[in-house]
Amino acid sequence: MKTLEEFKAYYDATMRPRLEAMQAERLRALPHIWRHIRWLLAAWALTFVVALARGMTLQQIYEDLLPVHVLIPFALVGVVLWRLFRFVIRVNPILQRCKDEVIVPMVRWLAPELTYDPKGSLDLELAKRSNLIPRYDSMKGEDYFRGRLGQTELEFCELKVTYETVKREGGERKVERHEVNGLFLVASANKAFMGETHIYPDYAEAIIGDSAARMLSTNHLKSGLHLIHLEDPAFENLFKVYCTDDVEAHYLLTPSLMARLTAYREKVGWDVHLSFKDSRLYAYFPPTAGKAFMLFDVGGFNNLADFDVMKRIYDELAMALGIVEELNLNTRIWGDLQPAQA
Amino acid sequence: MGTWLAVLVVALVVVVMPIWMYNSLITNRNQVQNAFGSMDAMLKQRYDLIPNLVSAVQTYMQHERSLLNELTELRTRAASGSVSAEEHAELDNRTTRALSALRVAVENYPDLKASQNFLQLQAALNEIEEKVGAARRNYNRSVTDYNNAIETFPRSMMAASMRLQRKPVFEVAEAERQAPDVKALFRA
Repeated sequence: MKTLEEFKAYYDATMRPRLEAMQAERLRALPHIWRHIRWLLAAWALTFVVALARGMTLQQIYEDLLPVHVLIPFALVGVVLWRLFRFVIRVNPILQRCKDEVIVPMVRWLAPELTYDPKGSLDLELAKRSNLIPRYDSMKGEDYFRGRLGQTELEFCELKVTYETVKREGGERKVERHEVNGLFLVASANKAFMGETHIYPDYAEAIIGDSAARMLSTNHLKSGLHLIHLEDPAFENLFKVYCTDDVEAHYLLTPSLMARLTAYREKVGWDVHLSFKDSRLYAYFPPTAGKAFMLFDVGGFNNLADFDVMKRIYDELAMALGIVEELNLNTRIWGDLQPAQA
Repeated sequence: MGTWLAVLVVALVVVVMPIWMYNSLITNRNQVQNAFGSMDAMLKQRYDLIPNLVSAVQTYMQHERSLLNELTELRTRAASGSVSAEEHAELDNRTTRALSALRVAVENYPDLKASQNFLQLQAALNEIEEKVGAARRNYNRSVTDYNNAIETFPRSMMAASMRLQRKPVFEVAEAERQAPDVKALFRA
């Protein structure tokens, strides 16, 4: 993948002029809602001024002008919604053109060793088999990458997961719909193994400490899997490990790999869930601490000409591709020397 | 209500806790035995690799006869079934040193290094060495959990009545703790 300096040079030479033109279009489409809000508020204030000037008391103003007090807020909301709706209608084609004409060529230039399909997805059965998606009713993938980095086959895509939860509030059944955007990745593992080893973020240990977290460990949750603790305290503070075979888990999670995983997690700043299963490494990056993926997309309220907007896409791609180097997946000196399929 | 609560607390202390302590100590002890068995199985796999390794390299490494003979002898003694636990550990350490010396010696034989057969064996050896290391780490973790269980209150009382003794963790031989003299390796 290209370096940040190379990307900045490419951005300045190729992307900036087009993005600035699109940004100008986007600004023309902006709803200028404040203008309408100011007028409506001014009209509302004027009714008060006129009423007071005619000697009405506040009580009379409230009672006699009630229709005005109801109409104006409704009008405000209606105007805002209408202008936002019109903005979305006008800005969506601009965003789509931004993706097709700027972002897609940018991504292909950044990672020429991979094929990129903006509407494609990896096999969602892989995501379900990985045991990394905690809950889902349906899944959809897009922005699909596939290729080989060194000796490692990998594929990844943005994964939209939807699920419903049911709450009971005062005897009433309330259904809430959730949508989670994350990044899902599959890579060929560099070691042969038979069982399963899963690595999850350990929120409990980071908050309440090791002993209490051990007491809370819910061994029954993952069928056939049990919780184990490893020697690296920094790793243990960030992750918890479930496995079917203790020795195999130690074989996969060497002190070197634990240190690399810890450093990778701190570098990317996203929660990372990993599993070693079926001769593959699965990785899932859900939204973390208020951040969300908008993988290879920009929002209608982003400044299209801002370098940081495109740099966010660069960072997300670097995070996905970085997993191969950071976890040393191209070192294949154990067992079968042939690179496996992802 | 107060009486029932007192009865419940007494039942917990007198009946439930001792059962829990006994069971957890037995679990820890069995875990150590299981981990030791895994370590033993990995070491056996390593010994089983030695005949293939010696066969693959002896044609090339004419000047390393003594090293190859040592490896063969170590393997034969380990497989004989008549060694004590202490001798087993000593054999294991000597095998580790001999295999390390073999890895260094191979550097002098470029034809051997290019041999596909040797490369496959080397990969298999790397894998088994890493698995042996993993088994040792797992064993040490089990022993540490066991030692913590028998030495911390209140399980230490139950452990004393069961005559459970502290176990040593697996330690690297003193010679292997020394940092390798890279210059000496190059001179050799």
